[in-house]
Amino acid sequence: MSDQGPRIFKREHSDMSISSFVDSDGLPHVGQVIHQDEPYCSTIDQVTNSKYIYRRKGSETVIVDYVAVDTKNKNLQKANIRFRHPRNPVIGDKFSSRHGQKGVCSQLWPDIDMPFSGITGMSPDLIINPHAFPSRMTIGMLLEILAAKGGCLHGNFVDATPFSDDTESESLVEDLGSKLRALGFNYHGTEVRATGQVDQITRQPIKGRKRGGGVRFGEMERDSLLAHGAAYLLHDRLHVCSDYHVADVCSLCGSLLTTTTIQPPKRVIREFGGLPPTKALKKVKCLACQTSKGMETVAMPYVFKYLVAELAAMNIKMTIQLNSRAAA
Amino acid sequence: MDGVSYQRFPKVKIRELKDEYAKFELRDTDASMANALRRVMIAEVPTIAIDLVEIEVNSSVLNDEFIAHRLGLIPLTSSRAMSMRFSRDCDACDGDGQCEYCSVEFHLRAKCMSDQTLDVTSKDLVSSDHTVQPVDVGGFENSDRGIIIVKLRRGQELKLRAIARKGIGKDHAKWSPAATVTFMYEPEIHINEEMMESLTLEEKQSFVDSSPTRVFDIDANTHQVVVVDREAYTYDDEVLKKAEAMGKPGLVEIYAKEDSFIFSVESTGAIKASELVLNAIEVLKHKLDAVTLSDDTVEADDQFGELGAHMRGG
Repeated sequence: MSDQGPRIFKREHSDMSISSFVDSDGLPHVGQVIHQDEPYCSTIDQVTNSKYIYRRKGSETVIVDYVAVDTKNKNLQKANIRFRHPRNPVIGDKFSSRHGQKGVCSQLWPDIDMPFSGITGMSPDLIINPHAFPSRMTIGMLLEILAAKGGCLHGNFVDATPFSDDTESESLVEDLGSKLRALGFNYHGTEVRATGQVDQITRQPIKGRKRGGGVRFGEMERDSLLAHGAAYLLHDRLHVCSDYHVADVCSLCGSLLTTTTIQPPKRVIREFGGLPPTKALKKVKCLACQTSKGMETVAMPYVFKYLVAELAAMNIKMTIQLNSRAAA
Repeated sequence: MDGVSYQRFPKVKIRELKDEYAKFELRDTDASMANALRRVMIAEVPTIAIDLVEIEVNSSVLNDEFIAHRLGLIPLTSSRAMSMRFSRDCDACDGDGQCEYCSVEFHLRAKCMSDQTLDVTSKDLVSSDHTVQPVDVGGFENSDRGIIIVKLRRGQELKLRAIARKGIGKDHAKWSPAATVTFMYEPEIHINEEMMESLTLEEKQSFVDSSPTRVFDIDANTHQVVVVDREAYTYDDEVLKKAEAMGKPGLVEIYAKEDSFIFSVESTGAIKASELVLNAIEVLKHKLDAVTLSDDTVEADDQFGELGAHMRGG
C-alpha cells in the first residue's frame, strides 16, 4: 500500500466513457439520474495515476440531491454526495404507526375497488386488520384514530396530553365518543361481551365476531391475570361470563351423571301470610343410589359436565368427592 | 335467446345541481349499473393534468420530484378533454406529446426578491391555451389565491416548463375528475303505528334519539313519531337495536330499495359535475360498443376468443 499516494476526486479528460455521468472534477451533477451500476464519481491516485470509478450498487434508481466538497484542503479529497430515492409503496413494503403497530403492505387496490360510505362518499386510504389490536393492546392507537376522526370532522385539534385534568368529561373515550355521536357516527363499535350467543354443546361463548362472539380471553390473558393475582376477575371472565353452571352431584356415589329431577307432586303451594311460596327443596335424586339424601349442588363450568359424559362414553368413571370448605 | 327481454329503462331525476356538485336519483336499474357508473366517473372520465415537467431552476426547499408531483395534482379546466387525443395515440406528434391535439404547455417563473415569503400558487402557471387553466378555487376564504405549490424565501427561484396531457384516473389519480362519487340504496322505512302508539312519550323520545342521524322526530301536535328524513338513515341499525332493547321488535322495519339509488357527485373542478355524469355515461357507452360492435364479426374471435364465439352462438 505504500506505493499509493493520496487520492483526489478527478476525471481524466480523455476518459469519455464516463463523461456523461461524471464531471471533470470527478463528481456527479446535481439532479443527475443514476441507474444501477452507473458511475457517479471517480478518483485518481496522485502518485500511481490509477483511477477508480465508484458505481451505484443496488437496483434502485436514484437522483443526486446535493454535492458538497471540503474546500479547506487544496486537493479535493473529501466530498459529500447525497442521493434521493423515489419510492412508491409496493407490495411487501413495511409501514408503521407511531404506536409501533407495524405491518406489511399485502395488496394495493385502486380507489374504485375500495369500500365507500354511501352518505359522504369517503373511502379508506388503508385497511388494517382489527386482529392487530387486542393482543398488542395499543389502546393509544385506537384513541388516536377516534380523536383524529372527530378532530378532522370538527376541524379542530385534539389535546392528547396524557394525565392532564383539564377535560370536562369523565374520560377521553367519553369525550371522543360524544364528538363522533354529534356527527352521526356510532358511539363506539362492538365491545367485550358480557352475555351473548353460546355454543350448544359446551355452553361457552362462540367464536367469531360475525356470529355474535366476543374477543377471546385466551391463555396468555389468563396468565397475565394470574400474575396479577386478580383471582376474582379471572373467575368472572372464565367462569361466570362463560359457562357457569350449577350441577347436582350425589355425594354418596360421587356421580355427576346419575342425577335426575323428580317431578314435584302437583299440589297447591300455600302462601304463608304474604311470604313468597316456599321453594320445593330436594327435587333431584340419584338414580344409582335411589335416594335424594346425598344430593349437593356444585358450581362448575358446564364443559366439565360434558367431559364427564364423554369419559363415561369410553368406559371411564369419574367420581367427585365433596368436602365442606371447613373440612378441606 | 328466447324472446324474453330483460331490458330496463332507468330513470334519472336531478335533485340538486351546482357547478361542482350534483345529487340525483337513479331508478329502475340495479346495483351493477349504479356501480359501473360510479367506477367510470372516478377512474375513466378523462381530464387534463400536468404530466411532464422540465425544471430549469429550482432552489426552493422542495425537491424536483416533489414539485412535479404537486403540479400534477393541480386540477386544470378540462372541458376540452373529451375531444382531445391521448398523446400515446396521437398521429400529429408521434406520441411525444407536444402538439396542439394532445398537450398544453405551461410555464412557471417565480423568484422571491423580498424579505417576505413568496407563495408560488397555481395562479402563477401560465398556460399556452386559454381553455386549459388551473381551476379557480374561488368561493373559499382565500379566493384570490390559487393552490400553493411551494413557498420561496429571499433569493430562491423556481423556473420550469410543464406539459399537461389528457389521461384517466385509472392511470394516475391526478386525472380523476371526481372528488367523491357515492351512491346509497334508497331506504324504505315503515313504522308500526299500532305498536308505536303503545309507547309513552318518553319512550318515543328515547327511540327518536337513538338514531345517530336525525331520521325520526315527534310531531309536536299529535305526538306521533314521524320520519322526517329517511335518507339521513345510514343503515346503522341503531334504531332497530333500540326497538329490540325496548322489547318491541318490529317497531320499525327498514328495507333498502334495491332498484333505486341516490347519487352524490362532487367534482374536483376540472369539469362540471353535470359534465362528469354525462361524460361517464358516454364513456360507458363506448365501452359497451366495443362489445356489441364485434358481436357478429370475425373480430370477436380476436378480441374475445371463446367468449366471442359464445356471444354469437348465443
